[in-house]
Amino acid sequence: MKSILYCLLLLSCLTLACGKTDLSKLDETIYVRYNGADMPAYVHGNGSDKVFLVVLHGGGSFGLAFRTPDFRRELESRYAVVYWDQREQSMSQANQAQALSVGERAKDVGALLSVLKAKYGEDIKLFLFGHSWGGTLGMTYLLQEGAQEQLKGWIMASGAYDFPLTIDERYLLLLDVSEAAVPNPNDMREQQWIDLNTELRALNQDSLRSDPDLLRPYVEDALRYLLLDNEILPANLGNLYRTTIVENNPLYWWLNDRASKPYLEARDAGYALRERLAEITLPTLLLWGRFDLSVPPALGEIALAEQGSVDKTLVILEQSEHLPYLSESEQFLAEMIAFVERLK
Amino acid sequence: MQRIALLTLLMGFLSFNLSAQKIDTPEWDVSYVGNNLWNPGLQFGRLIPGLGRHEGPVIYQAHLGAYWDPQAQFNLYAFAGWQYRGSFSKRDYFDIRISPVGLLRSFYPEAYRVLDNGNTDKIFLPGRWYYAPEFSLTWGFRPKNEQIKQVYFGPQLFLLLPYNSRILPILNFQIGLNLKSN
Repeated sequence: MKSILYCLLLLSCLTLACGKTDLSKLDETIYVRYNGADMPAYVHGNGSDKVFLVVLHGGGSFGLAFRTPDFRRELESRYAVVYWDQREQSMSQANQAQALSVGERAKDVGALLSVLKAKYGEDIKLFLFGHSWGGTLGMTYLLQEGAQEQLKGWIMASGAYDFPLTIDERYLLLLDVSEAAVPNPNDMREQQWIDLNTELRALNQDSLRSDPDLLRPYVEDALRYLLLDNEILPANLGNLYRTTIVENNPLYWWLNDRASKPYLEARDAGYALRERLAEITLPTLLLWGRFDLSVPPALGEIALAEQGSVDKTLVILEQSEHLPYLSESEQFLAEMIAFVERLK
Repeated sequence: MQRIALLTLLMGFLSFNLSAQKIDTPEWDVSYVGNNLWNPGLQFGRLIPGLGRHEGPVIYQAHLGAYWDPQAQFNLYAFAGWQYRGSFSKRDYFDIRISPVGLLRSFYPEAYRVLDNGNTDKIFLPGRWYYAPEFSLTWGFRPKNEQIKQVYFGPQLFLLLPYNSRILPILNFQIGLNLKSN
């Protein structure tokens, strides 16, 4: 019995032991305690150049969802990548009695950056990468006082920075895609596209903002047809399942996601930042899937046109929908690396 | 149709000829617990017959355990309550455990507190406390080894509260042994 207890004690000591300090092989978890929440940041990769890429995950996701073999091979070999579980998501812990605004949630990003600087030095070069809801959160953070001065660059992929605009553009993209497919004589699903288009035109567009889920079945049908037509590449779901089950505790993630959906609260509240795009002057890389029926590429085009940055680029991934980092990961990561290398 | 199915199930369950199992000597309980293969845990317990006067199927139990989420945290917990043992046959058992008194402490590898002015300070032994009542239902059988009272397996449910905005139910799988105390 005693030996078992000693083993248990040893296991806890090993777990509590301080992380490695070798910047070239970072592999550690640091919690950020801020405003009542404890949020884990999983830091992996090569921090020799002091370049830290902070990942803001999308709605219903988790930090380590991005830790695919491609991210490990291409990004972690060059930079320190910080996969972070946002407040109330996945392994984060809090005693959260009241719902928080997007602005209050975005302050957590600032807290995370403060901890990274405290741990790895004030001279680290920080890049922020937000996907989907992570784009909403990241852009909200950038608009807070002094935030852009903390960073070298901002990478937004499929960022839902304006929910009413997202819903309008989703409807328009569905119409475009269904019409463009019809004249194609090779399209085996011509009648299905025609039916989809007819049904879309019969929808009352004004009702979509109050009930955006009306479009969901049409989006699902359209994505299925696009996949069958070889217009889009399938996302590498094997990587997604691997990160969900092996890298992460799926039970904590799933249960916490059921309990808290800040992106839906923001959507239902009509959260919109288009009017403030001009205030963002940080060098920016925008990455979008051509067939992103969740957050259409029109939002990327608008951000490119209206954002205040001098250094801004939009890259459209021609055969992707909402998860281009899984479907066209090679090009996606090459663009990210080129952006970071240029600005680090 | 649903009523007939329910009735059939109930009759099938009763046909096992369930009976309470008298537990008259203390036992040790050792088990593996975890909610997936990557967060392993160990649990130790002591089962004590009811204070001498009430030897029977309901006994007192107290457990201490730990499980580990390799990427994120280590959890240490303790719980106590009652355990009921019934039998399907001479060698097959089931145990129902209810532990209203439970406490769990999470431990993080490293944590920093961020103040409103942006300053940070490192936290000593970071983690959180949770009230953690526990329930479990296991099925077991008695092997030929006399020292082993039963080998069992089954689900275990922890409720962690307050957790984020609500309760977090943690469903574990456990597999273990009940050993004779002497």
